[in-house]
Amino acid sequence: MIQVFTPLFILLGAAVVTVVVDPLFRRVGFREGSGIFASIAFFFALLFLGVEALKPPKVIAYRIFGSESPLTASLKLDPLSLYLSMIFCGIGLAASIYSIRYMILERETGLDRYYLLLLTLIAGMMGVTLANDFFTLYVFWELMAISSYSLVSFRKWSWEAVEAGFKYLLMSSIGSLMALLGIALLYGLTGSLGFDALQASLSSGKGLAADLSLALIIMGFGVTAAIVPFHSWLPDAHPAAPTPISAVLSGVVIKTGVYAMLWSLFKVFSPSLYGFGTVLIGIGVLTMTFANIVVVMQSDVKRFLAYSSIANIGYIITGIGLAAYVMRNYPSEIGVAMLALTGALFHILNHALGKGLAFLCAGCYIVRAESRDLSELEGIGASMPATTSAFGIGLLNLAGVPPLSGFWSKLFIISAGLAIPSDGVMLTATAIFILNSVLAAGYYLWLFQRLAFKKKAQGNSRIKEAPMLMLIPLIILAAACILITIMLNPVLQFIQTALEVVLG
Amino acid sequence: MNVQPWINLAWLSWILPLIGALLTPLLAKVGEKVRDYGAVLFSFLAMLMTLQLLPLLWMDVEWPIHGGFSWVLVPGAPILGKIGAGMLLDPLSVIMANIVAVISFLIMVYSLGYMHGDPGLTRYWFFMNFFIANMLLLVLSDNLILMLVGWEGVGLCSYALIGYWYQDSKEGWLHYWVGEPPEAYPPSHCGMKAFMVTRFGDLLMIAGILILASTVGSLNFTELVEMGKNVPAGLQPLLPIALILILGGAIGKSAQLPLMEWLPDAMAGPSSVSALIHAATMVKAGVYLVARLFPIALAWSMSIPAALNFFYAVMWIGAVTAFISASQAAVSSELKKVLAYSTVSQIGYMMMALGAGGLTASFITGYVGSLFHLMNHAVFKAALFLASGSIIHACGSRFLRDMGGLRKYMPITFYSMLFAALALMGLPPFGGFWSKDLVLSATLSAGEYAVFLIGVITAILTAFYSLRMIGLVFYGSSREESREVHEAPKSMWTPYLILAALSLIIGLVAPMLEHGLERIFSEYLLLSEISKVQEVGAVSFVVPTASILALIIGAIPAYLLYVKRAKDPGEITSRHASLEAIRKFLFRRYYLNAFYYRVIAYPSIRLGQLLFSGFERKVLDRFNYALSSAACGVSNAVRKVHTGVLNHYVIGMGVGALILLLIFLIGGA
Repeated sequence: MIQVFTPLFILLGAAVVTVVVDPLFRRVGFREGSGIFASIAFFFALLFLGVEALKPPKVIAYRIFGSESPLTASLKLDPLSLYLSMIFCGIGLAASIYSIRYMILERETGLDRYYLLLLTLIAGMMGVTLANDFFTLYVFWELMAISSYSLVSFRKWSWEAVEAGFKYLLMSSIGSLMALLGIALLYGLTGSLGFDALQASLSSGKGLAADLSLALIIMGFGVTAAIVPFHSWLPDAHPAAPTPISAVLSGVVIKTGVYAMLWSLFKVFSPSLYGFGTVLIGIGVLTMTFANIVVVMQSDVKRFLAYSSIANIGYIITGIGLAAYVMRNYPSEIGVAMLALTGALFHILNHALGKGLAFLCAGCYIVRAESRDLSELEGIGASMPATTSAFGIGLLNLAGVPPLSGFWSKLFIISAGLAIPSDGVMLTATAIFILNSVLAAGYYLWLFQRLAFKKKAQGNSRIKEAPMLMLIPLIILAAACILITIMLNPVLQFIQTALEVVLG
Repeated sequence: MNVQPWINLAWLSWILPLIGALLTPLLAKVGEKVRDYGAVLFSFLAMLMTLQLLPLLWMDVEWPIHGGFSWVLVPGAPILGKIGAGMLLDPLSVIMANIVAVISFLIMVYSLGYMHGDPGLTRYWFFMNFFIANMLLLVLSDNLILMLVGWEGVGLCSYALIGYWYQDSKEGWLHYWVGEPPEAYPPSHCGMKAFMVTRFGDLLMIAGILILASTVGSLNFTELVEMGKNVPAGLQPLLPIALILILGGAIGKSAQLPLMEWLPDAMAGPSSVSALIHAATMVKAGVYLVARLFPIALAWSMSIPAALNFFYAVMWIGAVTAFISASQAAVSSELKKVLAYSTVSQIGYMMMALGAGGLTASFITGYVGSLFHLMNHAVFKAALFLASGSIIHACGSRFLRDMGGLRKYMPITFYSMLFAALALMGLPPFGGFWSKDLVLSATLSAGEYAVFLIGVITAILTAFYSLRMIGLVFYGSSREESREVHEAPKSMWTPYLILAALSLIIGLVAPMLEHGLERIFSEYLLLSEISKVQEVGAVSFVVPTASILALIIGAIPAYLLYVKRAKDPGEITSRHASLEAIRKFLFRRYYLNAFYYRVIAYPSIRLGQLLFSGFERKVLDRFNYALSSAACGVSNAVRKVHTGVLNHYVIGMGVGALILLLIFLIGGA
């Protein structure tokens, strides 16, 4: 039983071993050592997950300690957690390979801590998706949160990183506390923390306390998911981190918040009993609109990408909200809810790949041009064709240009929103969604045009292509974008089985 | 029978050349030889794949073999679930794919010699392999959308390869340009022209496809017949309209009236390209499409008689085009342009046969006649083009007046071209004779005597211009510099010698082939529930007699004027003003080309300039700039919310939390 959780233990084990082996690597002058070691750990974790994903879908629960209810710590493995773990681990692998060369080029020290934190970060995120009760979830949640605070302020000599890290720490802690309060309320109401037990006892209404807990959980996890107005830490924190960490933060860490929200809302509170769909749609629409408006004028390439991550969270939350709304108001239209959730879950994957890729490419530009300012990066594409090609694929995927997979995930959410034409709420939300997609496509293409096709800015003439070791993860991610487009159906089938777990 | 291996072969046959195309730029980095032979290798692999499909024709299989997958399958999304891709193997697609792949490979081999040393070869090989991939995709795909992908892909390659010598150098006038003043065009212009003219047809076709998609609800060739019957009676009149609109695409691609004007000018491309794209394969796509829609239109015409108009349109357009182009070929001054007009004319023949076939109960004669003629034409016309490439190479000019007396210097080319020309004229026992016979009998058995007459007149003209071309190139006095002219290298003459020999061999086994094709197609097409066919009556002697008579009538004046050179044709026309007027009328392409330029092209450009300076610059641009500066302004205003001060952020968070809590507590989830 315990073997199916091997990937989690590989990452945690590797984190411990990194600290031990890094001094040895350094002694022999092999500075790439710990990066390669961490990459291998990620690779094997991903391999195990992949093997597990190829097996027929099943749901496994495993109790770590404690007796049966009320207090038990247990893990689960189902297609949904497998799906998300693979995304997390994949982006982790790309970031880790990228870091090998990047961290040396940037003359960073303390690589043992860096890889330790990267490993625990991904392990924490995987743990969140594997948790089968709120206690375990919260433990892994904090593992993830603390690792990411530290990574944001990893460049502790930099004023920007320290300030960003502090903002992140403070605001995210408030979020964690709100979530904890919500969980505590649930425990008080039902006397248990296991998801299954909670679901059973919440199936009859629990009044105001349950509503309060619901609101607290949305807000608490929403801080990490960066929903407006709990997002304001993100535009500072994501750009301040070393670029591979930005890719992980923007690509996947915020999705952990989405997952925690999705799981607690759909699994613990049932959408047909608690009408949170409208609120989620409202939050999603507000989030995407605000972020998309703000992103247009950003002059820092990393801030640009960071804001657009908030917008994409808005798309995903809207998809989830539409599903909840349909399940509450049109219980017979379960197909529409499935479509919206498929779109949302698929968009998690597409955005992770696209945004991870875009950040890693931006990192290559920044390393070579030694600037994050878009006006100085203009026209750099001519000097770095390989990076720019990958960047283009990532941005087109994000912009949702057909036939790339990013187009399909948005299309699913939109077609779910249009499925019940008599409903004003859904129509309005979908209309705003479409307008936002148009605006987003506009600024992604504009960004690409400025970087790839504009005349070279002054002093860009001696810029070389990024080193091979940094290009490899770019190629992997770009290939993944295209591969998923080709293999749309198998991926969607997998998401469908994952959805069956959520919807029961 | 397990069909998957066959379907896999079909996928591979177009994916392999696609990979070859994509690899070309990489192979070019390794070395020129690697790139050239690599490109040929991939077209060879494509041929290998399609050749393996051939045994299907002899095997006892249940046609059609169909395999595909749905790209997107999501519950709750009924329309999205329909998006799929698949390969369709039936006698039509297997035969077409083999014609395409085999001729492509031979032309790729020819290109090794013909294009040797050209500076843009990486581009050339890329587009050639890309073309082969798209053409095979076109004929093998199982639905109209996927076919459209291949359709536009070949169009793109056609554009890029016609304008291959895009520098339009004035020094290369004799080689690369096409036409004489005032209708002389540089290559890049010709490529653009081909692209623009076919666009008209493609637009109509897309409209037709959309109508089919919205009325029938499927675009899969295997489902169209059945699902067309379920169309509600009110919408049924739309089906023939959709068919006619799709025919528009075929007319554009196959250079039929009134969209034929691009093909003669497409001769600005390399001869290998003319042979592959503008003679043997791409221009046949329209014929393929009509043949593909043939059983569908036939089945629909049972319940919707208006669907028969599709066949009338096909037949008449084909017949009129065949005549017009043949008459233009008779006066052309350029070697390749003779062949181009002849291609248009012969495709008209194929269309004519298909259209006439659909109008009779014994449709199989027309259907098989058209396909058989397509096959023959692909072989002999490719041979003619490849040989003409050698001749133009040797003479350094594309004009017939700069050639003459080449028989002695280029014997292999002479015999290859002679054989191919005889096949074109329809001399028994060459392949062309048999297929022309079928085409003409199809029109007779449809009772369309006027069309039959046009067909015979076209045959007279065909014999005339074919022999005229041979006479002008190979007979007569050799010009001074011809002494330096010598035979083309082996890698060049081998392909066209093979093709010329093939045109004879096909002719020798033609009765057998014909019978085989008729058996396969009557079995296959009957499967798709078309009413029982009566056997064709005894073959009348009218058709072969008429065909041979036409051949003789056309050949004798050509022999006297251009081979024997008994009289100077220039002298004859100068003496009779009316003859000269006719010559000029034909030479200027019935003034159709000039008409298009005057009435459509130039006014459109002028209108475009006006709209650009008046509307786009003054209205659209201002609106766009206003929109973008508004977006920037809003963005700049909103982003002030992000002060960077933590206190503000936390206050914002608190306010948000408060609002949310209020919603939940008051609204009561």
